[in-house]
Amino acid sequence: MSEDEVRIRLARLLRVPRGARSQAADVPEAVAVVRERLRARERRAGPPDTLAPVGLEPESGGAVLARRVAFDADHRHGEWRLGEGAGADPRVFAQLCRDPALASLELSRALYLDTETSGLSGGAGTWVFLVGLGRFDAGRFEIWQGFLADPGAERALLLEAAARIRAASAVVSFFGKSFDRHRLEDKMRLHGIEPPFAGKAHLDLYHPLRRLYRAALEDARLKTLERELCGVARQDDLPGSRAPAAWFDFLHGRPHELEGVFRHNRDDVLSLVTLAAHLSRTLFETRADGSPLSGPAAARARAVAKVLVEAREHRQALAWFDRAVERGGGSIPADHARLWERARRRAGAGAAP
Amino acid sequence: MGESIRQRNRTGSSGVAAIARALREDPRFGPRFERWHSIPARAARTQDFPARVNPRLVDLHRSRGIAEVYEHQARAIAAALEGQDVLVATPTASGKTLCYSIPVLQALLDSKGSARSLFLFPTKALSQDQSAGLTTLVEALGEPWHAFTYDGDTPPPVRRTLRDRGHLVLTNPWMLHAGILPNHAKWSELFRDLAYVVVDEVHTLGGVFGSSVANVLRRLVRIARHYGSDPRFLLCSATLAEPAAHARRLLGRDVTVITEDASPCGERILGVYNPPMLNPVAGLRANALEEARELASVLCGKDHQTIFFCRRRTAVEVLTRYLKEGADRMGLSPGEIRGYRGGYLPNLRREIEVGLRSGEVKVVVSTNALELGIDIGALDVAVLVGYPGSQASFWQRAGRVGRRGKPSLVVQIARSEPVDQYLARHPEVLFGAPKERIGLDPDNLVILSEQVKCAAFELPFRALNRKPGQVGAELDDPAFGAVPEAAVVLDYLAEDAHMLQRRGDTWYWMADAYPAQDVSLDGEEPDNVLILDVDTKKAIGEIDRPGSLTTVHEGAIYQVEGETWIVERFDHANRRAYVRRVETDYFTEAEVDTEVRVLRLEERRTRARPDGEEDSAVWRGEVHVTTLATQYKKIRYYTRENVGAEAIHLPPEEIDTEAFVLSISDATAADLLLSAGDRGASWHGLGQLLRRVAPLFLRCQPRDLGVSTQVRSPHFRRPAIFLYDSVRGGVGLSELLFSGHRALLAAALDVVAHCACERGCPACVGPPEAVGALGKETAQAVLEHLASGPDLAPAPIEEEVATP
Repeated sequence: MSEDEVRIRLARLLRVPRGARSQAADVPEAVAVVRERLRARERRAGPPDTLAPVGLEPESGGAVLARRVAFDADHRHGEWRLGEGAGADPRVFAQLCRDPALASLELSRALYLDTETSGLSGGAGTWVFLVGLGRFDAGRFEIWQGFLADPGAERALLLEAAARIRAASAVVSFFGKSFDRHRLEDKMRLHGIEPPFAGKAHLDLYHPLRRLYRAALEDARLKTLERELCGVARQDDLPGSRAPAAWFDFLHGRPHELEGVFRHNRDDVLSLVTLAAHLSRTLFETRADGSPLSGPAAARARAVAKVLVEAREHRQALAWFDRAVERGGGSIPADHARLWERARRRAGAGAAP
Repeated sequence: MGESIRQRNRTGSSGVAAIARALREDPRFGPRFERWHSIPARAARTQDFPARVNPRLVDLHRSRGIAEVYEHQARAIAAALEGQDVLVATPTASGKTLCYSIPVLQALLDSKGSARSLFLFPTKALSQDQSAGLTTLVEALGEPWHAFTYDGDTPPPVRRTLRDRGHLVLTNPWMLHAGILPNHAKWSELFRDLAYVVVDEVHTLGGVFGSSVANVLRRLVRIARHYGSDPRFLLCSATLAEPAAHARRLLGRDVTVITEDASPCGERILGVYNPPMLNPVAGLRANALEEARELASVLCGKDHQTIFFCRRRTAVEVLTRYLKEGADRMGLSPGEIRGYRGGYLPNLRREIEVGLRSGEVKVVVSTNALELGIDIGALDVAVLVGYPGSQASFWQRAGRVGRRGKPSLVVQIARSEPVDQYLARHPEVLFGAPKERIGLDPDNLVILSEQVKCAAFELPFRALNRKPGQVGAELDDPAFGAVPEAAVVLDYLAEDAHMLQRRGDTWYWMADAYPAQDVSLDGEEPDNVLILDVDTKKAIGEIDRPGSLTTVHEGAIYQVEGETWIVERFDHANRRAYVRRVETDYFTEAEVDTEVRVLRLEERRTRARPDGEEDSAVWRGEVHVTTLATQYKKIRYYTRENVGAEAIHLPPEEIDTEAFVLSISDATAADLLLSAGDRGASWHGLGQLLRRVAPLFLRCQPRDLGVSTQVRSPHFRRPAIFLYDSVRGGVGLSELLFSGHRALLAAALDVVAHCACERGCPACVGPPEAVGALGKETAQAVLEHLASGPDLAPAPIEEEVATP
C-alpha cells in the first residue's frame, strides 16, 4: 500500500463509527485523495514561522531561551513589599508544616518556583514549558523564566533549571510538592538528569495556608489567598487552565496568548514571595511594621491553636483558642471545641503541682 | 445398577480407572459414550541443571526437593541464559515457572542485585500466586531483593517504594499500558536495568486484546531502549498451533521455541458423552446440564474430587443446586459440594480453594474462573458440560485433574452444536497437535493508531533521514521502526487528530490529555449503551453498541437471569435504553440485514472445471459491512409460536474490516442443483455452518466472525459467502481462513454428513424451516464437491472483478 492509500484507509477506519453520522462523513475517495495531496503539500512546506514574546534571550550557548525580570526589594506586589519576609523566624514554617527541615529556611535565600505545564494529568507526555525561578540577589528580586520554545530543547532547559535549583538552599512553591516537583523530576529522569530536590528543604505554601484559612475562605487556591491575605488584584490575568492551549498555539505559529502566560507565571512567583512573608508573620498576627495581618483572624487563630494541640503545646494552644474567641467574638466549631477541651485539660494537668 | 457402581467407587482402590470402567459398563450411560480415548502414562525425562546455572540456585532448588530438571526446562533455561528469547509452549503443570524463575534469579545474582525483571500475567490471581512463589525463592537466597505485585489493588503510598525497590515486578497488561509505561520516568530504575520480560499465558493473546498487547510490548521495548536496556523475552503458553509464528507476530522477532514436554503424566482417559436423541427429525438431544446431573451419580463420590465446568454462570448455580439436593445419593453432604464463579466475594472464593486443596470439598461446579492460575491442587475427574470453545481451554480444564502419576478422567458432554458433535466423533483432534491458529494483527490500523498515540505520549518519534526522492518516512525506532504504516499514522495523528506536532524529523505529543486512559486493550469501545430502569432510575445492564441494535430496540424484551424488562425508549444518539419491568409470555428476536461491499481484494485462489471455466474460488480482502436491524418477532416461550412482528427504526451499523470469501461459479452451482428453489436458504445455512465450525481452526468465538451469504453477489456476480472479522480493520482471522479453508470445508462436511438429523438441525446447517426441505442435502453436496478434488491455486485478481 502506498502512503496515500494507508492514509485514506486510516481516515475511513477511524471515522466515528456511529451510524447516524457515518453517512454525512462519507467522503468520496476521489475527494479524499485530493485532500490528502493538499495536506502533503502543506507538510512539505515546513513549520510556520514562530514569534517569541518580547524579551526572550538565548542562554547556555543558545540552547535555552529565558526571560529575566527584576524587581526592587521594595517593590509592592499587592499590599506587601517583596522584601518584607527578610529575617523572618523560620521555626514557624517547621511548626505549621510539621516539617523540622524547614526550621532553618531563610526566605531571603530561598528559590521561589512555579512552572507552567501542558496539562495536569502527569505522565511522560506532560511538558513543563515554562519554569519560573525567583530569588533575591543583592537587594533585588530576580525572576528567571526558562521557556521551551522548541520541544527538542527540553533537555537543555531541564539541565539549566536543575542547576539553578541545586544551587539554592531551599525551595518555596505553592502545591509544588505534589505537582511541579514531580513534573520536573519525571522529565529530568526521562533525560537522565539527576533531580535536584532530594534532601532540599521545600516549603510548600499550599498546605499550611490551607490549614490556616480553609474554614474561612471559599477555597485555598493561590488566587483567593493572594487576594485575601496580600491584597493582590491581578489585571487581565490569563487563567492557568489556558496555559496549555497558549503554548500549543505558540508552537503552531500563533503566539498571541503566550505573553499572558509569562505574566501569569511572573505574578505567581511574586505571590509566593509575599505569601511566604505573610505566613512567617502568622504567630505575630502583625506585619513587621506593626500593622495588623490581613485575612480572617479568628479562623487563623483557631487553626494555630489546633496545630499547637497536635504539637502538644497545650498551654500555648489554650492561649490561641482564647484569641480565636476574641478575634471572632463568637462560637467555636464543634471539632475545635473538642480540641480546646483537650488543651484545657492537658494545660491544667501540666500546671498542677 | 447405579448402586453397585458407587459401592465400587467408595471401596475401589484404583479410583478413576474404576469409574471409567463403571461408565463403560453402565447399561444406560455406556452406549451414549461415543468414544473413549486414553493416553498411557508417561515417565518423566529429567537431567541435571544446565552447567551455566549458578550453583547457589542449584543448591536452593535441591534443598527444596528439586534435584533435577525436566529436559524441556533444561533447554529453556540454557537458551535463556545464552541470551535468547524463549517461548515454552507445553501443557498445564509441566513446570513452566521454573523455566523463567531460574534465569531471572540468575540475572539478579550475576548483577549483584541490579538486574530487574518484569512479569506480565493475564489475571490478578495468577500474579499474586506467582509473586508469593518468587518471594519465597528470593528470601531463601537471603538477599535484600524483592518481588512484588503491582496492580490496581496496590495502595498508592506503597507504590513509590515498590517502584524503587522492586527487583521483580509482577503486573498485568492493563497496568503496564495505562500505569507504568505512561509514567516510565517513575520506573526509570526498572527500565535502566531490565534484563527479562516474562509474559505468561501468551496463548490468550489473540484478537484485539493480543494485537493491542503486542503493541504494548513494542512500547515497552522502546522505553527500555531509551533507558539503555534491551530485555530478553521469556514467553510461556499452553500448547499451541504454530508457536513460532505466534511469537514472531507478538514480538516482531524470532524466538527459541520449546514444545517437547518431558514432565511425567499419569494415564489420561477421555470419554465423550453424547446425550440421547430426543427428536431424531429435529436432531434435538437431551440437555447437557441435565445429563451432567444424571452422570454425577457415577462421577462423584467420597473418595475422589470431581470438577464440573459449565459455560455460563447461571448453569453453575443450577447444577450446584441440583447436586446439593442429590448429595446423599452420592454419599456426600451438601457442604462437600460447592459452586465457584466470578462474582463470588474473595473470601468465599479463598475458602473454596482451600477446601479443594485440603480435599474437604469433593465436588466443585465452576465456570472458566477455575480454568487458569488459581491453585486448587490436582483433582481426579473433570466433567466438561459442553466443549469450552477452544482446545486451549479444553486442556486447561482437563489439566485440573491428574495427580502425579495417577490416572485421571475427563468426561466431555456434547451439546447439539456443530463443533461439539464434530469432536464427539473425532476426540483424537483434541489429543493431537493443536489446530487452532491465533488471529493476531498488531498492525491493524485502528489498534496501531491508538497504540502509536500512547507511544507518542511516552517518547517523541523520530524519522530517519529521508533519502532524496523518498516519499514516506521511516522511523528511527527500535520497535515501531519495522512497521511501515507507523509514520503515516503519526502524520495522521498530527494533522487530522491534532494530538501531535511534527517539527522537522520529530513528532511530539502536543495535547492536554492522557491517551492510555481512553485506549482499551480489549477493544471494548467506550460507547456502550446503558440500560436504565425507568422506575428505579438504576442501570440494570450495559451492552456494546453493535449488539444494541438487536437487543434494546424499542419493544425488545430484555432479559437478565429470567427477569424481563420491555424497552420503552432507545435513545440511540445518547446511548441510553429505558426499560420497564414486565411479566411477559414472549421474548423478542430481531432480524438483521447485512450487506457486504467489497473495497479491495488482496488475494485469490481458484480451480477450473474440466471445460476450463472457473469452478470455485476463495478470496481475501477489505470489505465494508452495513448491518441494519429490520424487524423483530415476538415469540412465545416454550411453544415458540410467533405472536407478532414489528419494524425496527434504527440507523445502520457500519464497519470496515477484512473478509474471507468463498464463491462458486454459476455452472458449478447448477451442477450441484444450487439453482433449484431452495438454494438461497441452503447457501445461507452453509455460511452459518462454516462460521460455527471455524473455532476448530481459529482461536475465536463464533461471534468474532460475521457471515453474509449472497446468492448472487453484486460484486462477484455468482454465489458468494463472506466470513468477516467483526473487529474494525480485522485482526488476521480472514487470512487464517483463507489459508486454511480446505480443512474448514472438510470439517463442515463431516458435521453435515454425520449429523443424526434427517433434514437439517441446529447441530448442522439449521432446521428445515430455515434452510428448506432440501437444505441439508444441497449443502452436503456443495461441501462434498468443495472438500474434494484438487486444491485451489493462487491466481491473479482479475481487474474487471476487482472494480465494483
